[in-house]
Amino acid sequence: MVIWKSVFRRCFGIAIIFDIIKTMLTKKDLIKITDYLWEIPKSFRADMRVPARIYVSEKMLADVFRDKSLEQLINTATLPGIVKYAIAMPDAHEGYGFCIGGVAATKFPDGVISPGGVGYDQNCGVRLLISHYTEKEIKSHLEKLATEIQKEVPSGLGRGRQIKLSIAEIDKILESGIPCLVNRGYGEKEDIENCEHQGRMEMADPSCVSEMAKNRGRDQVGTLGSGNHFLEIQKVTEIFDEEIAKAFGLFKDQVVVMIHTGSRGLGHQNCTDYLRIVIPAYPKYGIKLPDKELACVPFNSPEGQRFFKAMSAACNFAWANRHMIMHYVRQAWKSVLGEKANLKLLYDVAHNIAKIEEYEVDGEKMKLIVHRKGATRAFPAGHPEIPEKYRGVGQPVIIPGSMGTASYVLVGTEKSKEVWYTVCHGAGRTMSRHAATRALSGQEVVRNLESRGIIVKCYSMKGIAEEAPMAYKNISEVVEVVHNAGLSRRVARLIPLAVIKGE
Amino acid sequence: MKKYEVLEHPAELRLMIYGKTIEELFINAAEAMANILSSKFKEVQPPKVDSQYLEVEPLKIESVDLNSLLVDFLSEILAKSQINKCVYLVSKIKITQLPNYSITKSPSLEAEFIGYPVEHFDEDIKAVTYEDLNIQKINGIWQTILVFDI
Repeated sequence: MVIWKSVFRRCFGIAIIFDIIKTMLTKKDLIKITDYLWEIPKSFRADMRVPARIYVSEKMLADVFRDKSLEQLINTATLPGIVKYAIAMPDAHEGYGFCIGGVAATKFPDGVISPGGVGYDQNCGVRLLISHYTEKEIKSHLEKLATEIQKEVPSGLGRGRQIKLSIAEIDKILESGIPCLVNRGYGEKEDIENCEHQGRMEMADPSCVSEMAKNRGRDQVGTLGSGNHFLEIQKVTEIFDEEIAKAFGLFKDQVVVMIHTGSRGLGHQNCTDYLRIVIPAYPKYGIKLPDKELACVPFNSPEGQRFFKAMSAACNFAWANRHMIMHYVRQAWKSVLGEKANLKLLYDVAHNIAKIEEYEVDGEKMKLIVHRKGATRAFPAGHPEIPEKYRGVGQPVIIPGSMGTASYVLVGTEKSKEVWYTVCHGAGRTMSRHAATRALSGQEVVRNLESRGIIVKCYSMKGIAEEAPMAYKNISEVVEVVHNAGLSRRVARLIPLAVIKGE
Repeated sequence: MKKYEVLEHPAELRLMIYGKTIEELFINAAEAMANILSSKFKEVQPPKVDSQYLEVEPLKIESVDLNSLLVDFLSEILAKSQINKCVYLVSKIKITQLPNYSITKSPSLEAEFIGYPVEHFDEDIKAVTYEDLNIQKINGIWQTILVFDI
């Protein structure tokens, strides 16, 4: 314990200023690096260990001054062991600890790992399923498809699924993720390959997850949740890159299904449990942070190791959740369109996760602990960790829009190495849920979506109002930034035909 | 005096909680959470003492400071709510180790609850956060901001 403290102090030369003077940040404090990249220099605040960088257009810059996202980005730059920069994506908005849309890499194995840098919804993420139908071919079935999918995939805010798994079954999922489900006949072998990390973090250890967290997850495998989580039947409206779209199996007017959810109550409890362990451990490791929710401990400390194993287990649970939702969607699909109709998994990506990845930093190869909180991994062509069938073009990157707006499929590029192969994860909120419900009723939002020909299935009108498209940034502008900054390239644009909301 | 009020937050649910005493602030925070989880729970009769839904075992928690104690207390109730499909109101609470209401000494609490079974939650509160949490006494009233991740 004492050794750890001294090693940690020596490694990082901690000279933390306890009374940080919070300076008001204005646009003049930002240095413009390119049209899409701005930097807050390390000199801005005494406790910053690295500069903070944000990818955003000048037009969108005002949005990030509206909330605490830049202050949170600066706080992230104080993490012990952080490498190069604290980074924010164009969809950045206020979170807790890290901003949402935040990325930070720390040195492995002696840098910190941060539960706050992953967030409460561990491995919240998105997957895209592709059909061989065009909109025209199944338009008359859409209403029935949406109804059947809603029936098959509960939100989980009520009694959950009918089947309540035993703790032993939960442990199996925590340890083995998607492969154990495929082995039991849920899904196809190809589903394993077409998932980030093949749907299983090998460091997962169920014994590091509390009984309370496991109990919260027992009836939640295959449930959607609430908030911005959704399931959409979409169509491809535009192809930007024919060759890559073909490699991904995408074509114009094709009907696809998007699933956006995470680790549900199990992951939320897991994060809560580890904040309760990590925060009291700060004095042991000499850690002083400007914000309690940054919550970190050295990766190689007993607390850090246990958190990484527990988070890995919760990530496996989240992949299993999205996998089982896909299974139920496939059942609904077949029940309406016939046994021959199928949905293939294009790809599944996490956007709340911490992973060990290898990079070259200042000419030296090193492993880093990459935290992505509301940010998506985007490996380039040739990267060994992406499925062989995509290796020639790059990793599919799925960017969900807000409810009822466009979503995008992008492809990873070599340039995004400067941000640890990462891009944005969605649109990012600009309006509070409270303000959204005051501005528009759920009925008005539904009427507006239906007037655009979009079918809406949702039990809660309040939930619909909170997620109104006007409460979010313009997804096309967000994607334009990462495209123009070269962090990824646009492949296809998708628009919703039917929205199935949790609550 | 208001028990709590809803404030603005770009993505989550931010509240201001009030109480004449620290104990009352804790009780009001738990009631705010119960109301968010289910606006109609009070229409349901709480089950009898021998029912599986009634939380009969008192909760005992010790934390590093008073702010953490509130987060830990509400987090325990939230987890029990979601596992048991119930919302809980505090029937009895005792906070100890608070010399001069210091917010820095390690405090602890014991609490008892009344559970109300619900068929459905209105809101999926993911977690109770430390964001902007700062229990303090202003003009004789204990208060703090409380942010729920939803």
